[in-house]
Amino acid sequence: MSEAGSLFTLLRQSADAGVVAAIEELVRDAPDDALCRVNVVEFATKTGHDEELVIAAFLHAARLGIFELAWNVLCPGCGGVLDSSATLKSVNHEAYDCAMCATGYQPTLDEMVEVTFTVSRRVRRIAAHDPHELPFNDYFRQVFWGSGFAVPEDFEQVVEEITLDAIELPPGEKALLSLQLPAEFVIVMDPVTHGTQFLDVKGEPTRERQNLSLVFDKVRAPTGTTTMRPGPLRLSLENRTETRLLPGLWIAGDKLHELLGRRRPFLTAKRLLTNQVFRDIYGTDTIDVEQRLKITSLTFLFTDLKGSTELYERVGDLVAFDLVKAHFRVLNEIVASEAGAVVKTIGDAVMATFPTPDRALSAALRMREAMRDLNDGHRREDLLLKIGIHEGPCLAVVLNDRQDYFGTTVNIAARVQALADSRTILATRSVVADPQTSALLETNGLKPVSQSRALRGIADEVAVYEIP
Amino acid sequence: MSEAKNLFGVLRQSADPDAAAAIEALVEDAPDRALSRINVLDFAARNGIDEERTIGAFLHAARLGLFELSWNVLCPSCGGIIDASATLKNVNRPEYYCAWCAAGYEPILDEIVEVTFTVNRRARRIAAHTPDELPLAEYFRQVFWSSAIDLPDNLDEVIEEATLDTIELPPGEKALLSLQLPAQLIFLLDPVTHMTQFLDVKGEPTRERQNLSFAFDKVLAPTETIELRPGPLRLSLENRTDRRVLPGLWIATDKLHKLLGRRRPFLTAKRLLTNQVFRDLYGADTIDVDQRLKITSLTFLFTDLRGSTELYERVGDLVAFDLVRAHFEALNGIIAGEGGAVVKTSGDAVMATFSTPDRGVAAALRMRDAMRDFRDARAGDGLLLKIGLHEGPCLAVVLDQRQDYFGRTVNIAARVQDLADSRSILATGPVVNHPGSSKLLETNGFKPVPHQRALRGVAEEMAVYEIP
Repeated sequence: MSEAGSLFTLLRQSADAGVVAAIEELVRDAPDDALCRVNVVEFATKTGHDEELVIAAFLHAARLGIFELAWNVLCPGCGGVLDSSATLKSVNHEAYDCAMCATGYQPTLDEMVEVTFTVSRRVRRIAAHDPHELPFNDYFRQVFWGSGFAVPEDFEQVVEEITLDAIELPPGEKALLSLQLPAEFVIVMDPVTHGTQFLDVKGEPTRERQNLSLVFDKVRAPTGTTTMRPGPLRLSLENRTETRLLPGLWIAGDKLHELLGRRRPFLTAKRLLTNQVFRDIYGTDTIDVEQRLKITSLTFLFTDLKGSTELYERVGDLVAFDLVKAHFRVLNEIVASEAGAVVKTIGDAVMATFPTPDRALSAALRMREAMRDLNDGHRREDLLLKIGIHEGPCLAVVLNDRQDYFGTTVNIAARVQALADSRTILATRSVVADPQTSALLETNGLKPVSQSRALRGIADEVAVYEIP
Repeated sequence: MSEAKNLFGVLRQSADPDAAAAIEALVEDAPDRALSRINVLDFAARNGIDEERTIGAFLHAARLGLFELSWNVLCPSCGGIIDASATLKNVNRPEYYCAWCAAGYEPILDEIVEVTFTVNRRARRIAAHTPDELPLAEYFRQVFWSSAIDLPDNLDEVIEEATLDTIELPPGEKALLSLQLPAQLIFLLDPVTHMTQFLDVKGEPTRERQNLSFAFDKVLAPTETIELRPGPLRLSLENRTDRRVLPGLWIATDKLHKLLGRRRPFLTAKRLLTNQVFRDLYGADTIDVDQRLKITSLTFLFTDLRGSTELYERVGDLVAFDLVRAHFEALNGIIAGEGGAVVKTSGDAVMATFSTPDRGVAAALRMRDAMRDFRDARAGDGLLLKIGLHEGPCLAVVLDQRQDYFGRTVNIAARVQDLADSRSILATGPVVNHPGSSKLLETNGFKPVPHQRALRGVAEEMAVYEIP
């Protein structure tokens, strides 16, 4: 533990002390399962710390090797982890199939990819470091389901009730299960291979023994639906993989649906990409040059300095550069503190992203204030900021050695900013109509004024709101 | 030598094979002095290899550890090196003083800072690796004078003729020189410390012995000219530094002037900054965050895709992204081919730099042709490249973790690009009137048409030339 001790000393230098103390306590005292796939949003709520500070502290802890970061592709249907990887670069399939839900999903970074932290084995050994030795229930809890799945208190009892039978099947072995099929929809499922076979049990009960054999191999796990009649079943299972499997028969009734419906907030890949600490630590090395990852909703904020060309002419390049840099520093801080990240600067313009519209608007209001203070400090109206905000779907990509975003949403956000005059903040409907944004505007006594504006290159007029 | 052999094997894979072969031959066969502070442009001319390829090959060789790259601040008047460093980050003084010429200079990247390559001692031992053991003439050749001076082979004879006396003075030692002063302007110069004392010898000749003592220490300060009379002088010299010094009494002869006047082109810091291979290999790690280095003349080229917003709307973000990326690749290739570098991209806009206007114009013409082929071959119909060029002074800085440029010239270049609305290339007077550009345009049968245009934020109207 002395190595871990010195790592935590390092961590305290870069992260919030209160959060570090909470993480250190977690690593020291928590049960094994609380250290596997930590849901940092949940951890923040439980310990009463600010979410952003917690995310930042876990990112620094991961950089120091205290935790291992995992990107898990989730099934939005059942909340199961379809694929887990140490890097987002491996999220490169067009679609991910969930065998249990028998559906394919396109991976979008805001809904389908979660980020979890598992303690590193150097810091503390936990059972999940050897997932293939975990008992049945623990395997489901710690490996099969993502951190967005809220495990109920009476989990073991619920599982007991909704499984007909389950067996641990070592590599290369066969097993025969004899059981009575009830008239229900039954799922034969192995959480390791995700192999699933549906049994639609209906019709007249029978006394005749029905036979079914399922083979699990590396290439293809079983899928499909077989119709059967209530009565005795001899199920033969064969494990042709090199890992232990945990096939079981589940009754797809209300209880299972209720169990699968228990969700809680989790750290999405999108939220991490638009986090300044993440960008600072991991930079471009997040996405491959060939990757284009979909995000359903991201908020873009563009700023530009009004009259900067005149400013350079008046005060000269050197002085102007120092002023522009001071203004960048202020904007960076505001963006980071509102859970956002600066994607890049272009001349004296800034492009930033936020997970939600309200954080962007909050940042915009603070930026306007900060510029007022900077100008007061210089006793000149040198820095007037034009701000534009828009929210929508986009692609996360790598361009010019930088993790960047692409798409119509980005274009519109830039065009909206170009319409802004000095000191006004312009935002589109999707931004101001967001409930949190409306609440924020109301609290600040700001009434957005709508105007329909034509944006260059955009076919339809867009409603642009001016925040006075 | 086997380690060096391996490195050359690697070099052949990443650099131009002809240039790599020429460099390997140089390291194997050339005399020592040809491997110290190599003037890359001279090397390219001698070997008949393209300059850009030669620069690229030396950069890769330096990256592999075959050579050491050195940034030298030159005295533009005498061509001597005032300061040399392995990194541009150390070029951080507002002014550099040449004691010999008694003048201070701002370290401007296009005139005052050269980049040279010296073979690494692991690849080959040369005498200049221990500069304090070099004979006087070779010290002047390999250490004192920059690669901008085309020094003759009989340098020792010229020095012999131009000096009354020279002496090698080990650290901490003293020496007495007795000599006859002629009625001339004489200067006492040590090339190691750069200390210089002017002796104005005039008036009635005297037989009386004159005494003068002089100490070399680490602090360099301007000194007053001392007046002496023709006749005997006893000069006492003391070396208070921890290095050997090489003081000598020099007469400003015609031959010396002629020698120092023999200038040849050299690789400037500016040219290296705007080289794509350099940007790719060294990235942002060239300049410190707090540095702002002046460049007198840099050519900026901005491009933007016209109709891209419509394109995204029409074909969707994914297809649009692939098209835009293909267009970036085409432009990158052209820019690197013309000795330029991409500074950054933003959306579908590109900002690139070139060391001279004609290379910028050549790139612009090639880009226009490439886009024509691009439209013919793909669904990219409706895509037009808007190109703008401007040349002028700027600051080389680091912004947003990227080596970037700042100033009025950059703003104007972007504004000129904004005005472009068709297949025409727009360029300012300094670009089209550059002799290289005019010649290039004439050869291609283009007649630039000037228009007086108002640029946003620029006080006066500017002549913007349209290249049809």
